[in-house]
Amino acid sequence: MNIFQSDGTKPIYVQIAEWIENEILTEKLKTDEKVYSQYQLAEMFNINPATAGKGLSLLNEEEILYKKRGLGMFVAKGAKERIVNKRKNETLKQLIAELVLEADRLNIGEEELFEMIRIARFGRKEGKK
Amino acid sequence: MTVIQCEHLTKRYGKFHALNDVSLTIEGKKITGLIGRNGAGKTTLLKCIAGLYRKTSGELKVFGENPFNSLYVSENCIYVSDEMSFPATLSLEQLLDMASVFYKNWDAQLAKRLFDYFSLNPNQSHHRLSKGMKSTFNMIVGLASRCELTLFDEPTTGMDEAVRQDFYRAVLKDYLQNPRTIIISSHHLNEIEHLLEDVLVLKEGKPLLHIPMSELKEYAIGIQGDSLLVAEWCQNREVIFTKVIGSDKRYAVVKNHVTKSDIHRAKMEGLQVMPVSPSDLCVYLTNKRQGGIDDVFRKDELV
Amino acid sequence: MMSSEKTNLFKLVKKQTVFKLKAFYSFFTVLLFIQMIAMFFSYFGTMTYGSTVEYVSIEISFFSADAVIVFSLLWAFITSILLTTKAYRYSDFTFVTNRLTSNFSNILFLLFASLVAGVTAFLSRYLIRVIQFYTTDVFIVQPFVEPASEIIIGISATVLYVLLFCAIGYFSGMLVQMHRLFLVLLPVLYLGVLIISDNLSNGSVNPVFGFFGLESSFFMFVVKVLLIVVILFGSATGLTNRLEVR
Repeated sequence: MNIFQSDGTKPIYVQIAEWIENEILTEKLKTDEKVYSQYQLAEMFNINPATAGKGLSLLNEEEILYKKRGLGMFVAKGAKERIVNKRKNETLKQLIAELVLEADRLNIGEEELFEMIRIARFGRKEGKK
Repeated sequence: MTVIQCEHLTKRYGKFHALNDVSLTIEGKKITGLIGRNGAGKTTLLKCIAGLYRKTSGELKVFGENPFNSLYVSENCIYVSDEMSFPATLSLEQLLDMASVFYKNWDAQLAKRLFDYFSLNPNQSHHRLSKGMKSTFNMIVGLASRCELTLFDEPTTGMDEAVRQDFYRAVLKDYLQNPRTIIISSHHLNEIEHLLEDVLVLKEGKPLLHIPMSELKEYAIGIQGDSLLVAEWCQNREVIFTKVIGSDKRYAVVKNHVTKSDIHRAKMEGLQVMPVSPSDLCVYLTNKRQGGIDDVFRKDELV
Repeated sequence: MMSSEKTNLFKLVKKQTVFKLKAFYSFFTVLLFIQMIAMFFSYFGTMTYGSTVEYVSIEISFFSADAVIVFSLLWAFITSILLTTKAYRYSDFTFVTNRLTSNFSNILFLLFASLVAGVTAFLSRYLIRVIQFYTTDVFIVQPFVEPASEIIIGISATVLYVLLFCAIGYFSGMLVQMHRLFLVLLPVLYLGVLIISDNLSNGSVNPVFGFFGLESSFFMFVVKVLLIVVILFGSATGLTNRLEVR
């Protein structure tokens, strides 16, 4: 069971997977394009190729990448959307859970919490103007 | 493809068992870390594999045969350590020439390049080198030999920080280009974590763990907080290590058989949950007792 | 598979011997040095006899190159022992070896060393004579150069003696490597045997030396030496085949 989502260091293979996801999100890697091999990743990030391979396998399982025998891993169709959904449902949810936890610890009620969120959003909008 | 196979391997000196009924298998083309305290049996294991030591009992097969007096194993296995002895009368350059004669896969270009990179003097004798330079030279011989089985026994003794980092990078790069079986025994697990695929932890002559690095990172979790709460939480769990912090806080390391809800509950109770680094974990696992050095300085209570 | 293993062994022994000839050259510089010292001592003659009659005085000096040979034998003995010490043995294991090839290449090296030492030790007598001829007023009585057949036998005998001492040294050194006790036991044993055989021989030549020295047939001499050399080297190899590299 992976407990490291927000408790400090993530396993390296997860970090590799996220890096590739970011490359896909920013369209540096497009659909059906070949991604780096585990050896290339190993060299780039100074890690064992098996670890890099695990990151690639993870993305393969999540259908963000698909494998072509003997040729390597490629970006799957709809990968970008899948990544966005995943991040929204998992990462954001996790952050919200922690937000709620901290709020409870400080005995901050629902109203006050929503107010704080509103202010934060407003501040961002002001900042963007 | 299995490169090393041990079954009930024992190495005994009188009554002392340096290796005690060791059974394990090491697959080919992997980088495995060999971790353990001083005296745990790391060097003994490596020297038995290299054919330098003779086993007392049990089975040991390297490349399918008994490594002691095996020419095939000697040709395809190199044991790199600070005990590597070279004839005093030959210069470093001559030693590299000698190595090229003995090892059929010897990469002279790599050897020369590494030699120049680390600013070694080709005309110097091995005896006169500082500890760090000796380790560096030995490392060059180890890498350039391109042996199918390369054993590094605490290869970074005496090396300064910059050279150590270069060494690890060099091992990785050469491994990527020429995959082979590498075993690195080290006291600095935190330094070589990123290099390793598998980890083999020895304790008192026996293998304690032999798992992939990724599993080792998730092997245990650390819980910290109010002493009573931590103690309660630790009940019915496998506690690997525990220590008292401050006056009323406690830190415990517990085997990771926990669920997300357990974690959530712990956090709700105000406990901190954190990962345990492989380096720390190995220290705790190879401890003789559950407490730490603080117990030595404890005046009143007996832990 | 068996034949390729044998050729591997053979090739490796060759490689190791070449390696040792290069790495152990310092032994030969030492040999040169002590032979020169021995020649220096021999320069002044081993025995001098003087006599004066009326106005004529005669001085007869006996020269012998024995000192050079004795020093060379000592050198061989010590060199062989040194080869069995950890520092030398272990360096084989840094590269490719097994105990068999390690011993074989040591033996081949000692064979070569015996050849070199034997030839140079024997020929030193001529060097001494030449130096004497040019530096003093001596009138040399013994023929300057012996007949070729005697030279050949002389060289061979010297080489074999050196080889014998190599074998004894190597065997002794290996025994000590097996157990420290031999470090005390062997000198006691060797001296003991010599002393006892001396006492038993009642004044004539010590039978241990006589075994070789009194042999009238050259062929039998060669057989005796080679047999003992083979036994000594063979035992050293066989007994230490399970020695560890600590």
